[in-house]
Amino acid sequence: MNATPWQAPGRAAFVVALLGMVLTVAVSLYNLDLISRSADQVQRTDRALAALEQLIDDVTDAETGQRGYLLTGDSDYLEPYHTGASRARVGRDELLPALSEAGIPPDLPEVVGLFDLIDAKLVEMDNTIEVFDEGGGKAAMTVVATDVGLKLMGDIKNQRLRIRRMVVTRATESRARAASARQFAVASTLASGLLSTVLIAIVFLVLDRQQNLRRQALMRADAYSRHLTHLADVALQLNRVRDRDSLLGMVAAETRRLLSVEVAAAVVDRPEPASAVSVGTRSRALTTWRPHEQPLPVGVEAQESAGIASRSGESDIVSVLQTPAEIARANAVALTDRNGRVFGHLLAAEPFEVSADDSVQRLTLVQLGQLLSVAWDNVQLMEQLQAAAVEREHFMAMLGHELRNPLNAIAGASQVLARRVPEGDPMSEIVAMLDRQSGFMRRMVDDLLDVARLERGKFEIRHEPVDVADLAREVADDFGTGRPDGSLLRAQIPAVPLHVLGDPARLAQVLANLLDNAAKFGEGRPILLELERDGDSVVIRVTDEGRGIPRELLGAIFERYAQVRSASYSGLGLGLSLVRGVVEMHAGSISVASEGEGTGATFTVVLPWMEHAASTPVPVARAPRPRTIVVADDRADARLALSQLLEGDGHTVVVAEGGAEALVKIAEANPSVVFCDISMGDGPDGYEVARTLRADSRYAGLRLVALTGFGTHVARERSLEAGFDLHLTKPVDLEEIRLALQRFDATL
Amino acid sequence: MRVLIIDDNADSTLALRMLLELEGHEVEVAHDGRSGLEACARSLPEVVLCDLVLPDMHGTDVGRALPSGARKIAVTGHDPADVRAACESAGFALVMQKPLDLDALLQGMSPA
Repeated sequence: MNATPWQAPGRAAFVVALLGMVLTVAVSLYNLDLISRSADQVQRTDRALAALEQLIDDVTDAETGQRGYLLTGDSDYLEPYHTGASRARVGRDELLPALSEAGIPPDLPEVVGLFDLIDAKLVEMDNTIEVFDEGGGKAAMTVVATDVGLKLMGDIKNQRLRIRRMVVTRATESRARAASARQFAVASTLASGLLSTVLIAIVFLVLDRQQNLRRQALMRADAYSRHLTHLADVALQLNRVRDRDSLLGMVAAETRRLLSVEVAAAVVDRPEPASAVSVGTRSRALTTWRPHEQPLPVGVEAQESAGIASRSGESDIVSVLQTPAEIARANAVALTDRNGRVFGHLLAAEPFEVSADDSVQRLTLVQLGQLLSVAWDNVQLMEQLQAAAVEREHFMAMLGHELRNPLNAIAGASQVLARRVPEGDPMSEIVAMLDRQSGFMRRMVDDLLDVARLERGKFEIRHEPVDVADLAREVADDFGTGRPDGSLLRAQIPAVPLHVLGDPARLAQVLANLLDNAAKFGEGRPILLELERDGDSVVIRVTDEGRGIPRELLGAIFERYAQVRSASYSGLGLGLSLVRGVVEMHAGSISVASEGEGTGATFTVVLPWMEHAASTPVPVARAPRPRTIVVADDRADARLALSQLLEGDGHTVVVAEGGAEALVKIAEANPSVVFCDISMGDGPDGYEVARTLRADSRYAGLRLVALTGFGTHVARERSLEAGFDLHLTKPVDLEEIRLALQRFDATL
Repeated sequence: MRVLIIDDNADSTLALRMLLELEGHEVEVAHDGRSGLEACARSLPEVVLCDLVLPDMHGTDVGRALPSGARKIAVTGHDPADVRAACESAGFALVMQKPLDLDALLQGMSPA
């Protein structure tokens, strides 16, 4: 852990207390030693005193025996005399070490004097007894009468008192030392106890402090992480805001909240729209405004901010931030757009508290400012994008409109010419070309409109069961017969129906567009159309062996105008984007694969397979009057479906499997209407049948309806040109058929 | 049928007129709203084909001013989905998009 300023005094106190405790413990130990030594001393002086008293007693005993003997002559007194004298001699020798142990040196004059006196006394008693034994009682009494013995005894007793006093003095001194040592010991023990308490207190305080700091650090970290989380939330919320006023209001409110300030304002340097939003208790703002000593470094040029504030027209802001000086004291960050231009400021009107969190608050303000800047920029970009999209949409609508007018005239003119120029005329080729080209142009304009509709979400499709296999056959047929390079197409389509839920005309458009695309880039090589069911999906594949697609274009090929970006391709590039749009509206997907330029390309459409196709459409239109109708189609399924529809309405239906059979059946049955498929395997196709019938005056009133999967205008024009009255796109629904027959009813 | 075409695009009307005449109809042409309304009052057509963008007035205004006896068909270069509601409220029975599909037009002129 890093040393912080608070730790130094703590550590010093700890060291001082520890040293003090060691010292006081040493003092106690020394004093305890002193006490025990003083006790020894007292014992020794007691022993020395006892030895002294014993010696004096022994001498006294000897003297008593001596005197008894001298007075009575009774030898019984000699016994205590000898005992006393001999014990006195032993005691005299034992006294010396005892005295020296008690601290009385043996060479002191008092000790030497005492010993001399005792020796003299013993000699005196010995002498008197000798005199008594030799000279009898009289001589001995003479010696006794001299009182030498008595005087010696008195001196001994005096000397004994002197020595005793000395010994007692020593003992008293020892006792006094012991007492003071005890006091010291008690005091130092108390002191060490106190110091250890202080030590424990210091350790406890330090630990507690550290724990507090750790807890505070954790709390700060927690608060900071919540802070960051909140900022992230703000960023997310700002991303969703689409109008400027809400943006300013939100950031101001968050600034106020995150920085705990009374007033925060986001001020934008723009006359339009409402350019300042302040959030806070504004009346309080005036009273709580506290000038701060030091303006923060992130502040803005005071003059500039003053200008902004007064321009903002928000009187509250102006009243809060009245003078440049006040603004300079406020915390502010500049709001900059992506070009670095300052377009406004984020102000926190109240100075931050000066604390450890100051830098965090400042950073927060900066971050909020940046968030606001980015969000503001995004809103602006979004508006520009939307404006551009609206403009483009408008332009496309205008373009479509403007193209349609001349196209209308050209298409009309070509139709007039087609009817006026007799067959075989050299001009008829030119007329056909005019017709074809205006058809192409019309399709292009239609595509443009469809794309615009897709983009606006206005594109609507029907949802009905569609047999894609049947549809694909129709489209393939029409492709095969409808264009000069049609023979390049090879189709692999299963005989079983493959139903999806969708719009037949739009799905036919998808297939036709993909085939057109393959033909356009196929460089005259074979084109393969495959169809299969794969689990719950219907998979449609269109493969060509043409110029292929450069790798860098693969990802963008379904984008609008993709071809426009590539110089080597012509066209608007709307077809594939339209295809993708339609496929996606059918809950399907489309992908493309190409190994690169010159290797061809495969487009794969995957549509959700519909297991149980609803069999009967709901009848809506009123059933027309019954007729005899010939249905010519080479596919049994289609024949059956249509004849069932017609018979359901009470018509008599005659079916034909091909063009030749159709002509025979029409001659036999004399129908009023013929529904005829365009491509019918071998033999005459639908166009030929129509032309043959129209060339025969017997069939002048006969109505001919062409049925194909190719719903394009070119195909339609071609049918009409061949003599059909009506061109219907497969699969045809009952409603359409009824409408057609009703129309025939009305005109017949 | 007697058909009145109101359209300021002379080329367009020329082609349409010839086509309809080929189909056996009797066609009259007006190049602005005012003369269209005058022609309508004079010759009482059964069908009126009216362009929506005319030099003097909008097609919907023409539609409102046209007598109810004629079948009124609006013709426009715009997306029909965008203008259908306005046209229907102006009394048009149909909205057809340019370039006109003759077949659809004929069908629209004489429905069941």
